[in-house]
Amino acid sequence: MVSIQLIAHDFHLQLVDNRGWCSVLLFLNNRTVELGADSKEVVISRFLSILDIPRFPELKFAIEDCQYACFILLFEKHTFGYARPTNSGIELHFRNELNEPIITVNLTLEECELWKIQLNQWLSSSHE
Amino acid sequence: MTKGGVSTSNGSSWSWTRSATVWDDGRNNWSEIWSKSSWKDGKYAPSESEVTRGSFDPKGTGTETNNLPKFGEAPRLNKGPKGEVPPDLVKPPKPSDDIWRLPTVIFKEPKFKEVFGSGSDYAAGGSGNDDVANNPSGGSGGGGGKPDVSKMSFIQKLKAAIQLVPGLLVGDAKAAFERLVNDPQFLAELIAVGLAFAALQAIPGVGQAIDAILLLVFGASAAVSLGNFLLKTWQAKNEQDLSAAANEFKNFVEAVGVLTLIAGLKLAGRLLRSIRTDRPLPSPPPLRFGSNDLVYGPSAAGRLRQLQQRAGGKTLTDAVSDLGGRTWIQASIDTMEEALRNGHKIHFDLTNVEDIHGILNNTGRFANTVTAQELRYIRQNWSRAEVKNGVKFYVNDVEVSPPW
Repeated sequence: MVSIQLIAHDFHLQLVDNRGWCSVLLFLNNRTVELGADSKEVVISRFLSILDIPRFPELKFAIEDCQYACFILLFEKHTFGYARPTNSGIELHFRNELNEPIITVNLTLEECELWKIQLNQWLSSSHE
Repeated sequence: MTKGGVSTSNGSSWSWTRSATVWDDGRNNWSEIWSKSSWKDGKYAPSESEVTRGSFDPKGTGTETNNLPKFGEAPRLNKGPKGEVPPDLVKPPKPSDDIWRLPTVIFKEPKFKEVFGSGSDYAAGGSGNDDVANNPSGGSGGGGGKPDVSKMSFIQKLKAAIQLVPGLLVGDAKAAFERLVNDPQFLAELIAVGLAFAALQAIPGVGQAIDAILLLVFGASAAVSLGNFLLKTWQAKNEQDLSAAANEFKNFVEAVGVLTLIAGLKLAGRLLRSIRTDRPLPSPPPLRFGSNDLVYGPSAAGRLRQLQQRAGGKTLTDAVSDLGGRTWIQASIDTMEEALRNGHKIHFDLTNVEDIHGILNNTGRFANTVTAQELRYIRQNWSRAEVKNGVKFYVNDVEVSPPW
């Protein structure tokens, strides 16, 4: 198993690759949230799709007066991931299979750039 | 043995079975069956076999047969039949002197027809001499009445016993197996596999290896049931014996599950066809799904995603872009309905579905999983033509019947 940690100022994501099957875990304070899993390529491409702010996907969905893009659905925990641009970066919002909110976290623009580099490196390493 | 690029092989196998029954009222009967088969370079020599049997009734009903003891003597189990039963288990049975000699080489890729009989084509779906597949009585009934089990061949008894199995099953397994035994292709494969299994069992070393594999794959209970089924079918002399054999097969089906049995038989059927035609085992045709078809089933640590990447189509996580205020299962059902409305297929992978009976009956630890709810929704709507035509089920990349 190989994993990477995507660090933000108040939380971090851990992506655990088990022979191509990638589990996503979110750590916030003392809380660990298992978000679910998909293939490594799918997980990376879904996260990369929201880290490039100028090419941010269309904000189609309203949640509590804010417009979001739904960027990922994960197997196993049946979690939906939403994102929207903010003044300082992006906001990530996850909901469970019953459409109940699980957690909301924020990324700065610098963190977005770092995540993008890390994810691209991790993706290319799996192709070598 | 290989010499100058030419392989040769020969061998022989024999079996000897002694069984007896003693009733509380003192009646008893016994039987001995021995058989020997020999082959050389993939060709079987005429087999030899002999059956001896006898019975004893202390009431002197006149039904006693063969070599009877005097009235009041101990039951046969305590005293072997006079002059016919070997005093111990190592005495060579008649008639060949070489029956105890171990084969030099076990196998040389035997050709199916030479091994399993002329003209039989069970593994290919019954295109050859298929009178057994189409006539469980083997013609012995003369067009009416009950068949004489004692005159049936092993293959005929296999088929007759298997056809009794649905009557012993209940619920979903009964319905699934009933449909299967009415499918000539399935029945042909089942008989071919049973026949091959029985033939291999008789070969020293190979039989034990197969038993070990069965234990590993199916577990002890299923392996024992399968072995008992074949033995009882082989020895069956009447309908009660066939029922007892069918009961063992029922136990086997219940232990391994109908779906696993279907997939295994399809694979074994392909293997036997390849032996018969001397061709290498062909790969199953790769699954190809339409680009907008849905691929459903448990995610199973990535195996569903691998199937989608191999065969095409979309998983639910690719097809749904938003909950839109719905729960996951509602989004799943809506996505299925939309796909069917648009003429797309739903390919449901059952390979990694655990406790299918519990799921379908809404019981057990998997009853509330998303996959369980999806399966039950499909079953509830199975009477709709678009659902029946649009949903396909698979186990190990082989299309199978619906699990109900």
